[in-house]
Amino acid sequence: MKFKASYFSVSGTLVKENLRRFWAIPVIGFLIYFLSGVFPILMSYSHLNDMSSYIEMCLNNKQPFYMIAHLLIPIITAVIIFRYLQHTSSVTAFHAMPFTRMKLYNSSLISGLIMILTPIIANGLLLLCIAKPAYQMWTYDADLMSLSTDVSGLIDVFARADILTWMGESIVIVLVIYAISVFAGMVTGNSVMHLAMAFGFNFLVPALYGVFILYCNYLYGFDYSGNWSETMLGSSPYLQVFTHGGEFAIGLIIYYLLNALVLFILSAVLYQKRKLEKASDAFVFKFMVPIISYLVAFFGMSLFGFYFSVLGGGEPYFYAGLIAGAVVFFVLGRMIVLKTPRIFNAKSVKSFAVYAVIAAVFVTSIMCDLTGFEDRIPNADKVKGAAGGKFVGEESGTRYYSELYLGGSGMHLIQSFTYTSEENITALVQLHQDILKNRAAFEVYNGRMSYLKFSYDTGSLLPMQRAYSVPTTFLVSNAQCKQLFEGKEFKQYYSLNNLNYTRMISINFNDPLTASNTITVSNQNELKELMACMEQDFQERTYEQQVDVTHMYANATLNYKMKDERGKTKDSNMYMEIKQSDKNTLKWLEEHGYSEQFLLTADQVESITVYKYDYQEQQNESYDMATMDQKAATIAESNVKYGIEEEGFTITDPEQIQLILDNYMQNATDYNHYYYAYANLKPGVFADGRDGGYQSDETMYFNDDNLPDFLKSVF
Amino acid sequence: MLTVSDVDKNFDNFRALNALNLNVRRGSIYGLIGTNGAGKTTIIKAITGVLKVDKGQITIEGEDVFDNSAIKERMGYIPDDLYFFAGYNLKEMARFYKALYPKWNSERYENMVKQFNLDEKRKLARFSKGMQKQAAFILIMTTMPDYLILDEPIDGLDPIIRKLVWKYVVEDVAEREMTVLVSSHNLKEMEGICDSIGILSKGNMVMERDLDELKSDIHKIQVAYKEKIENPYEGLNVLHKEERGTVDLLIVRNRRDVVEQIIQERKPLLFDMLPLTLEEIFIYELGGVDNEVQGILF
Repeated sequence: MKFKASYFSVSGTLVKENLRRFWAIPVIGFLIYFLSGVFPILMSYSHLNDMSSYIEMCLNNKQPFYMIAHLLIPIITAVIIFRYLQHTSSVTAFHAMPFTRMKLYNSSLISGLIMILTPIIANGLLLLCIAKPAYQMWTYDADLMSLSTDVSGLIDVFARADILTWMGESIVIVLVIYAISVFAGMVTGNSVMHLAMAFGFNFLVPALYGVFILYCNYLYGFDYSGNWSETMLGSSPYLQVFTHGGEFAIGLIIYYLLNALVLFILSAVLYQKRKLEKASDAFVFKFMVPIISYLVAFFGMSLFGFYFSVLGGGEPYFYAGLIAGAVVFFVLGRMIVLKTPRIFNAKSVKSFAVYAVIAAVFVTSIMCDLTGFEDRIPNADKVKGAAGGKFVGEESGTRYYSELYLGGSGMHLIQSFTYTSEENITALVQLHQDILKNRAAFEVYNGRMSYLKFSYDTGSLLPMQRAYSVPTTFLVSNAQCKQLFEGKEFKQYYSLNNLNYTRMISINFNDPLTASNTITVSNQNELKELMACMEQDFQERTYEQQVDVTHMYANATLNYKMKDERGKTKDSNMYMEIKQSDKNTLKWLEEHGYSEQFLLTADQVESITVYKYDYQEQQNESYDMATMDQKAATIAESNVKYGIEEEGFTITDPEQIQLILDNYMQNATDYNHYYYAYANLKPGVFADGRDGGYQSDETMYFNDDNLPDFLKSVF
Repeated sequence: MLTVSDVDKNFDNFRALNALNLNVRRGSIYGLIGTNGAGKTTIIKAITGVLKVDKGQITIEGEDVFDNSAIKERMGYIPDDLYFFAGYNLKEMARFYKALYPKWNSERYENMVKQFNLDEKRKLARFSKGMQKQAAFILIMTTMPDYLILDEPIDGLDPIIRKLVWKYVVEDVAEREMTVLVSSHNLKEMEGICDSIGILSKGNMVMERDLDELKSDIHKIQVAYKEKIENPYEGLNVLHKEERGTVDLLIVRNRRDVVEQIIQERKPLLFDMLPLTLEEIFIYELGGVDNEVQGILF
């Protein structure tokens, strides 16, 4: 009669014995969490607000010791608990005892679970016991800073809900790491390999994904900063903590728990299939030998490939690196998995041949774009929603970060705001087509580029994403961009009225050349008026005004209170440009006397020195220098070195200085040919105590079109 | 009854057991003999449910032993390569075994610890190899196993302890009908303790015999005749013959009474039946087997 083992049978005796044998692990785990979490909090219990940032860091799992414990405790536990499988004497002793394999696996698994969860639960309970409001006192709101009794607008970072969230997220993290580590134990045959694979497997998916993304960068239009990085980090709960928001959405938690469950079941199946006589080998299943060899070869090949391409800067170097890396690391990997240096035989050659074919197909499919990735543009009729970013020109800051607006979440520019109207989607698709048509020109262009992203919702699981570096000059003259910017959808979404804030605290302004000199508007009535002016200017702004290359009027920083996804009130801010064309805002600032407080004027400038850069001329000079005799060349080189030939043209006339201050650009558009200038400021201009003689914080640029006439005659 | 039927076991491309058959009667002691690498430990690990066989069946009282915890509760196994929990002493190990085996006999445990004179509180890792073997023996015997599997059990034990070990084993066989399978690479050690012997070579069972039956069938005789007789040993089934002057030394396989009758009919001048060692029996039984097996016997 065949003995039927229960799949859920557990030996209480073995669990108790495991806990008795390995009690040190949960105790050390407890102490790490306690000494780096509960203990410092208790030390500052009477003035807990001072610890609010630290508490928040701990409860968001960003505390370094917490993260170390989250990673090491489950890995070490799995290695130690299943160590009996990795030695011939212990594997014999355990399996001769009155246990079924299932009972042994279940009992060991549960022992480990108790050991990894106890420290978190115990510390969580302690934190729940000592929880009391702790407010983040740093805020833009001066009123709240001074009112210690009024905490209505402040954030309590030590609420019981936060502690329970921490417990939940921590349990999910250690559970998945433990599940992966247990799985590693089932396929490996000795403890060293178990430990190595437990670490390796925990980061395998993100690492493979990351390397794949590196290869994909060779595809024109591949968006490496799109959903890819989020997906890559999100594939591991441990890395999810470091993503943009770091939140564990319910869907993600279910995904992680399912992952852990599948791995536990898979490990149980492998335990049943495991040949115990393989204890002390590197791997106990034959199928692992090519998998690990190929993985090592793939990572090594990629490492050498990218390293060589950096060294040589060309595709031949890249391919040479790939080949060298594949050979070296395949040999290394095979030696490791077979635990012998004697791998030079026909079997290894055959195995390498298989790998070489797979690698060649993979690399070729990317480098030659066999999947047609680069030319693929969706049909506008089939797109439900589309987004494009950075066609707003040179504007830096966070003005067009969609997450800052009501209904926004996720990464800026792409995820939240989408065009849904037919004409805008068609315009976006047309813009995409225009870019592909001009690809050849864009790839050799040496000038100011905008990183333009496209994201199409075509109804499939993931959006179709592309990203291109496009000359800003191309965007300025593009009709589609004008339509996309001036259209109702864009203006409505990015309206300041749609900004996700509950209370505006202040707006800071500074001149772009003296970023450190800031004035602040904080009066609520003034703020209301100012916001209305800024909104009106935005709504009336044309695309030409948006992308005008002339420098901005001022930098503005909006400091405000907002409610995050969890409904918590917190501080936020937005950096934006006040354009020269923003007449209403400029008028308001002038009328209220703010402009004169931060705008740089000619009478504050001692002098401005203007230089010219021309790539072709510099090349010619280099050629001339190369053809000089030795002595003359040395003198010329030293002149260049000490800037003698770099001396620019210095202007001291206030009228000419004002002309320059009115017309400069903040960035050069053509990197082959431009003019640049520095302002030397008079004493007392800088509010931070810097004295005269200092150059402006930023550089001023000109091209041939906007260079003042009096300078044209000089250069 | 422990039965091994047509068992194959391969380690990658190496065949460790080849269509192996083995039968151990209830309440008997079975000696498994073989050189290093013959497959003794492999079949023992398969019998104890540690290794899964590729083909064939291993049963105890009709039940498959693999993954059968009910059978394992009644089985005690002392491997050659001992294992104790790190940092544990005998007392702690005993506590674990007591919780694990339902027939644990605390009284016997106390007695055995005293008799073997082991320090219960000393870490087992600090014991000598022989002492560790004694500790393992105490633990296993205290579980009162119905089946005792011993792999090279007396290696590293001094003669007094050896006797003590065998005393316990023989007593349990006699009193509780415990079934014992014991492996060794030395036939001499098995003599006087085993009821049956199996000889293993390169994964094959070369020979499996009941010792009483074997000893009653093989005889060593000295014979001398006054005059030469034609075919003097006809009908005796001579396995081996040596002439030492006028005296012939013979190893014959036959019933004792038949041998005596045939010889006496020819009126010998001298007729003696000499005692045979187990080694001699196997040498003549195995006759033409390879040198490897011969090595077991000497």
